[in-house]
Amino acid sequence: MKLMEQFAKIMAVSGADEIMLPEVMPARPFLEAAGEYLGARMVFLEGVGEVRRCLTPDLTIASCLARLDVANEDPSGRFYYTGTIFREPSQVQNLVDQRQEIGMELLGEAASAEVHLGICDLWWRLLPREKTKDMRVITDDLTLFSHLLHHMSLPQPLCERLLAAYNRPRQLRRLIADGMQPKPSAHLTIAKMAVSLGEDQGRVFLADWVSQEAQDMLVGRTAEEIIDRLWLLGEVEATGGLKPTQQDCLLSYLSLECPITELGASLHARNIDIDDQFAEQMKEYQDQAQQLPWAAEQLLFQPAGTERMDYYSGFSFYAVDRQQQRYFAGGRYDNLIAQLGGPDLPAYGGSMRLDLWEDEI
Amino acid sequence: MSIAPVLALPSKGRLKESAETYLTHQLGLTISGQSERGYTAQLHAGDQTHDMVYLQARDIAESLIKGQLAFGITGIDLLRESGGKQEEDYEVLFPLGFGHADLIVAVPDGWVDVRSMSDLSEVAQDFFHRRGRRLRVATKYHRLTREFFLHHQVHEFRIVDSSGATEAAPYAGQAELIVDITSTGATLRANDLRIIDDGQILSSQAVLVSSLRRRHSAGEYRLQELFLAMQQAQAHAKNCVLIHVALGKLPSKLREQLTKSSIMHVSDQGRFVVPAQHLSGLVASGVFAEGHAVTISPITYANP
Repeated sequence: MKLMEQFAKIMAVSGADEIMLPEVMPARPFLEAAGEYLGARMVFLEGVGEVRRCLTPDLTIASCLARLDVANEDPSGRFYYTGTIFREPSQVQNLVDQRQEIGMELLGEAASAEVHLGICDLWWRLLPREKTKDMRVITDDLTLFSHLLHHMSLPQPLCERLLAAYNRPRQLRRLIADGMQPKPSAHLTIAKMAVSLGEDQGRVFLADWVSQEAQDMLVGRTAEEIIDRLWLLGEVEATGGLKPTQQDCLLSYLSLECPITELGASLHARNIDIDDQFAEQMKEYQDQAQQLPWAAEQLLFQPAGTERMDYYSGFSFYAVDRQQQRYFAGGRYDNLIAQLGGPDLPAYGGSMRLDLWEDEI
Repeated sequence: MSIAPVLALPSKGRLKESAETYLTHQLGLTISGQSERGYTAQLHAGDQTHDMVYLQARDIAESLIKGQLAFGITGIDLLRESGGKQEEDYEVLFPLGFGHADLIVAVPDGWVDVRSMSDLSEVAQDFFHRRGRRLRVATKYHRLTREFFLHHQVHEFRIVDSSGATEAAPYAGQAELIVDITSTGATLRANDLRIIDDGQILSSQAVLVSSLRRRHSAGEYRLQELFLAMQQAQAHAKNCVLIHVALGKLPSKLREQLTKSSIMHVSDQGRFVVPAQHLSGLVASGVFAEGHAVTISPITYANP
C-alpha cells in the first residue's frame, strides 16, 4: 500500500480529523512561538508590522492555528494534515526551500512513554524495511533533565536558566562550562548587598535603588520585574554558580548517546545519580521500548543533541540515516496552544518529509 | 550593450553631498546632466562618460549584490544587512572617510540591570516566562540584529520593523528596545535610551563598492582602474609634501640627501615628493638653510 494511503487509513481508524493548511499566514504567531531562530529562515511577504505575512515555515504551528480557527471551544483531539514548509536556506539568497510533509498532532494528549514511543513506532512502520535499516531514531526528554537538576539541588534560578537553554545545546553546554557565575557589574554589587540584608529588607533596598536610578525612565519593564531579577542575580552570586562536580555531572549526562533500553546502565557507568522520578520515567521508556522489535539497536537516547524549536517542552524525537538526513521528527509542546491564544492544553505531534519518499507515494 | 547605470550615489542628504564631493574633489571626476528630478546624471572620467543614478543607499547595496549596478557608494552597514558576501557578491574598493556611524543595541535608560548582552539574554528569558511573549526589538536591520542577538544567546525576542524614528519605538509602546545607527549618540540620549556596553554590532562608513555579480564591460573596467589609481595616488600623497628648491643654490651633497629621502622627484627641476616624517632630518642636515630658496607645498596625488 502506498505510504500516503496507509497514513490516511491509520489516521481515519484512530479518529483523527484531516485539516487543511493555508500556505500564506500571518508571520507574528510563528515569530512569537519560535522566535527569530525560525524568523531567520522564514520567507516574508509584503506587509509590515503586525500584518506582515509569510509562507508557512512550520507545520506544527500552522496546523495548531488552523485547528484553533475551526474548533469552536475545545480544540483537543487528533488531527492530521499534508502541507508545505517554505524556508529560505541560510546560505543561498533568493531561493526558497520547499518541502512537503505529512503530520499529525494530538491536542490534549498527556505525556506518557506509551504515546511518545508509540508515535515514533507509527512513523517507523510507515516506511519500508529497506529504508529504515540504516536509520536511527534519536530521542530526548527535557523532563528527565529537569529531574536531574532538581536531584542535584541546584538553586531555582540556575535550574530555570538551564531548562530555558535546553533547546539550544551549544548555549546549554557553554552555560554549564562557564559555571553560570554572574559577571561583575555595578548592579551585581547592589544585588549582593541586598541579599546580605535578607529578603524583606533586601527587596526594600533594591526598590529604593531602582526607583532612584531608573527615575521616570522605566519603559517596557516594571520596577518589580527589575527588582526580582536583581534579587535572583544576588542569590545566584551567593551560591557561587555551579560547582565543578555539578558541571562534570551535567556535561557527562549531556554527552550520553545510548540505546534507550540501556539508559539506566549508561547512567550507572558514568556515576550519574538519579532520583526516583527520573528512574520511574526511565523505566517506562525502557519497558515500552522493549516492545518495539527495532528499538534495541535503533532507538537511541541523546540529551540536548540537536537544536529544537523553542516550543518543544518535553519528549522529542527525530529519525536520521547515516548521512544525517532527517526523515521524521516531532515532540511535546505543552505550552504552545495557550501561547497561540487557545486553552492550556498539553500536546504532542510529529511530521515526516514526503519529498524523500517519492517512489513510495 | 548594458543599459543599466554604471554607478549609483545616495539620493539625498549629507551622504549625497559627501559622495558627489568625493568624486569631484578627491577623485577629480566631473558630474553633469543631472535630470530635473535629480535621479540620473552622467559621470565624466577623462574621455569616458558613464550613466549614473541616484538611489536610496539601501537600494544601492541590494542592486550591487544582484549585479544591477557596476559600482555604488553606500554604507558598510547596508551591505552587510543586504546579506551579500564580500569577495563573492561585492568588493569594497576603498572606504571614503565619511558617513561614519555605529550600529548599536540600545535599551531604555531605566533598565538599570542591563549593561551587557549577557544581561539582555537573561532579561529576554525572564520577560518571556513572565509575560508569555517575546521582547520586541525595533529596527531596520533585521538580518544583522538577528545574527548578533543569536550570537549573544539572546533568543526570546522578535523583530518589529521600523520604517523611521526607531528611537521613539520604546516610548510609543511599539518595542521594548531598539537596534539602530548612531554617530554621536545624542538622539539616543534625548530619547532616554542607553547603548549596551558590548552592544556595538558594527562600525560603518561610506564605501565605494564594485559588484562581483556583474560582468564588467571594458569601460567599467577602465573606470574601476581609474578609481583605484586615483585612490592609490591619494594614499601615496597622504603625509607627503612637495619640496621645491632652487637647484643652483643647493650644495650637491644636500641635493643627494633630498633625492634619497624622496619617494619621487624631478631633480633637474628641483621638485621632490618627500614623506613628512623625513622633514625633521632634512632640517637638521641644513637643506632648509637660509639662501637655499626652498618652498614646501601640500599635495593631493602622487604616483611614484
